[in-house]
Amino acid sequence: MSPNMSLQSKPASQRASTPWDAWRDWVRSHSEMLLGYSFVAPALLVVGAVMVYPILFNLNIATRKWDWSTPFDAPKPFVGMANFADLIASDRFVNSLKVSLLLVLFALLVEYILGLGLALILNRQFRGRRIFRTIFILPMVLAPIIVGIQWRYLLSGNFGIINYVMFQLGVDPPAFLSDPKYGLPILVLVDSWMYVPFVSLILLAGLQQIPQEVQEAAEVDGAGSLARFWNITLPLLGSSTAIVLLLRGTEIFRTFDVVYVLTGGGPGRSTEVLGILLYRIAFGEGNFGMAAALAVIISILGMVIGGLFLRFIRTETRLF
Amino acid sequence: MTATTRTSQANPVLAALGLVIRNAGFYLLLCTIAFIDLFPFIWILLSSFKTQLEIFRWPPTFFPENFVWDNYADALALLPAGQQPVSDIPYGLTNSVVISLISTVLILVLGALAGYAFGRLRFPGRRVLLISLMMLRMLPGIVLSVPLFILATRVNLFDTRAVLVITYTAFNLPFAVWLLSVFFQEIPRELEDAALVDGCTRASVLPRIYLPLSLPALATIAILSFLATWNEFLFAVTLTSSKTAKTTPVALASMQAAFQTRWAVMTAGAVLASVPVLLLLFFAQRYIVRGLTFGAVKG
Repeated sequence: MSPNMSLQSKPASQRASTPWDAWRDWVRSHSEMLLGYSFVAPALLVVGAVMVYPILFNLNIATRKWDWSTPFDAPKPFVGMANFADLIASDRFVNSLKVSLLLVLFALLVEYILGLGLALILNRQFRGRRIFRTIFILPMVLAPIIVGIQWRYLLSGNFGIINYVMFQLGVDPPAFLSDPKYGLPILVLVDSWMYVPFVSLILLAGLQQIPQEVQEAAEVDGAGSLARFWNITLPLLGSSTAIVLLLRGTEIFRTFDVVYVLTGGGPGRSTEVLGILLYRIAFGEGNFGMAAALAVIISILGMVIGGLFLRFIRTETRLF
Repeated sequence: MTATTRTSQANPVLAALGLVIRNAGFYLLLCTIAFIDLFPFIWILLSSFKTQLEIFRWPPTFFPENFVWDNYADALALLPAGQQPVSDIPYGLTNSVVISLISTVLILVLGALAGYAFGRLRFPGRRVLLISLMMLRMLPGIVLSVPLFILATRVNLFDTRAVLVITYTAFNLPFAVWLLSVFFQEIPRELEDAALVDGCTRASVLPRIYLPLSLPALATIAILSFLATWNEFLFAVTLTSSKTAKTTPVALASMQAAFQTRWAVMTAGAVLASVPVLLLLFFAQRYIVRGLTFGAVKG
C-alpha cells in the first residue's frame, strides 16, 4: 500500500505486464493522492468516531423509547417522532427556548455595545498596552467552572462581598441567586464579564483596518464625529461585526458550564437554558430518547441562528 | 529632537503634568475595567488563605486575618496517613494534567498530518472533507453528550482517561487542521520543490520543511488546545464518574453539590486549577491572542 514500496523501476516494455505490475504503476502514479488520504485518515477516523457516528446514532436514539425503565441491554422500542412531539408540547421546553433566546439577545446586545465602546477607547497608542491586554483576556481564559464559582461566591446572600458593599451604600441588596427575577440578568452579566474584552479585541482589529484617509476626508468635508462614526466607522466594521455576532451568538446559545455551577438552572426554571434542560432530561431523569430529540432541535436551531446572522449581516469573509 | 522634547526641556514638570492630566481620564477608565476583570479572581485568591470561619463572617474581611495555608494542604490532601482526602481535587489535578497533555500532543500530530494534506496535497474530495470538518467545528458539544455516553458505556470506556483524550482530540482537531492548512499554504511552494529535488520525499518535507517553519502556528494550537482541554467541563462531567478519570473542573463542581459548600478548600482548588492558565496567559499571551482572533481578523 505504501507509495514508495519499490523504488527500482523496470524497463518500460515489462511494465504493466502482470496485474501486480499494473497495481504498482497505479500506486506510483497516484502517490500524491494516496499520501493525502493516509495523512487525513487518522484525523478523520477520530472525528468520525467521536462526532460523525454519534450524530447518526443520536438520530436513532431520538426515535426510540430509551430511558431508565428499560434494561440496558434490552432492545429499545421504536416510537417515531413521539419524543419530539412530547418535548415540543412540554412547558419546560418552551421555557428553555425562551430563556436561551433571550440570553442570546441580551448578552449579544450588551457585549456588542460595551465591546465597541472599549474598542473605540483602545484604538490609540498608549503605554502599558500589553499589561492591560493581559488583564482583559483573563476572564476569557479562566475555566468557566471557576468563573461560575467566583460569581456564586461574590453574589452569595450570606457572605457575598457585593451584598456587603450594597449594604454599605445604603441599598437593600436583592437576593441575587434565589430570586427568579435576577436569573437571566445575572447570566447576561457573567457572560458579558467574560467576553466583552474578546468582542472589543475583534472590533479593535477591524477598526485598525479602516484607512485613516477615509476618516480625514470626511472630516474635511465637514462630517462631525458622530456622523463619521455612524456613516463610516460602523459600516466599515460590517465584517468584524458579522464575525463577532456569529461567534458569540452561537457560543452563548450553547452556554452550559457557567450556568451549571452558578445557578444550576434555577431559581425555579429562570436560567434553565436548553443545554441545562438536555443535561437534566438525560442525566437527571435518564430519558435518553427525549434528550436526543432535544439535541436534534438544538442543532437545527443553532444552524438557523448561525444562518440568520450570516444572512442579515452582509459579509465577504472567506471564513464560513 | 521634536517639539515635545523641547517643551519638556523648557519646563519638564509642567509638560509631564499636562501629559498626566490628558491621560488621567483614559487610564482611570482602563484601571476601572482592569479592576472589574481582576477583582473576582483576587477575591477568590484572598479567600483561599482564610479559615472557613472567616469566610462566613459578617461583615466580610478583605485581607485574611490569619494567613493560613491549610486550605491548600487540604486541597492537595497533604494529610496524615490513613485519613480520607478532603476532596477529589488531587485526583482531578493528576487526571487533568495527563489528559490535557496527551490530547494536546495528539491534536498536534494528527492536525499537522491532515493540515499538510489539506493545504498542499491534491486528492479527490479534499474540499468536501475540509468543509465538513469546518461545519463539525460549529457543533455544540451538548448535542453529542447522550450518544457519546451510551457508546462509551458500550465499549467499556466510560469513566476512563482514554475516553476524554479521544473526545478532546476530536473536538479540537477541526480548528487545528484548518489553522495549519492555511498556514502551510502560505509557505512558499519553492521551498518544498527545492527539497524534493534534493531528495526529500513528499512525506518527509512535512517534518523537514513545514513543521520547522510553522512553530508559531504549532505553539498557538498547542496552547489553545491545552487551555480548552484543561478547562473543559461538559464531557468531563458526563463521561466520568469516579476519581479514576474525573478532571479538576468536575472535582471542583462536585464540591458544590454537598449540602454545605466548603468554600475554603474550594477557593484553594480554584486557584490551583488556574495556575497553568495564568502561567500561559503571562508567558504566551501573544499566541493566545493570535489563536483567539485567528479567522475573525483574517477574513
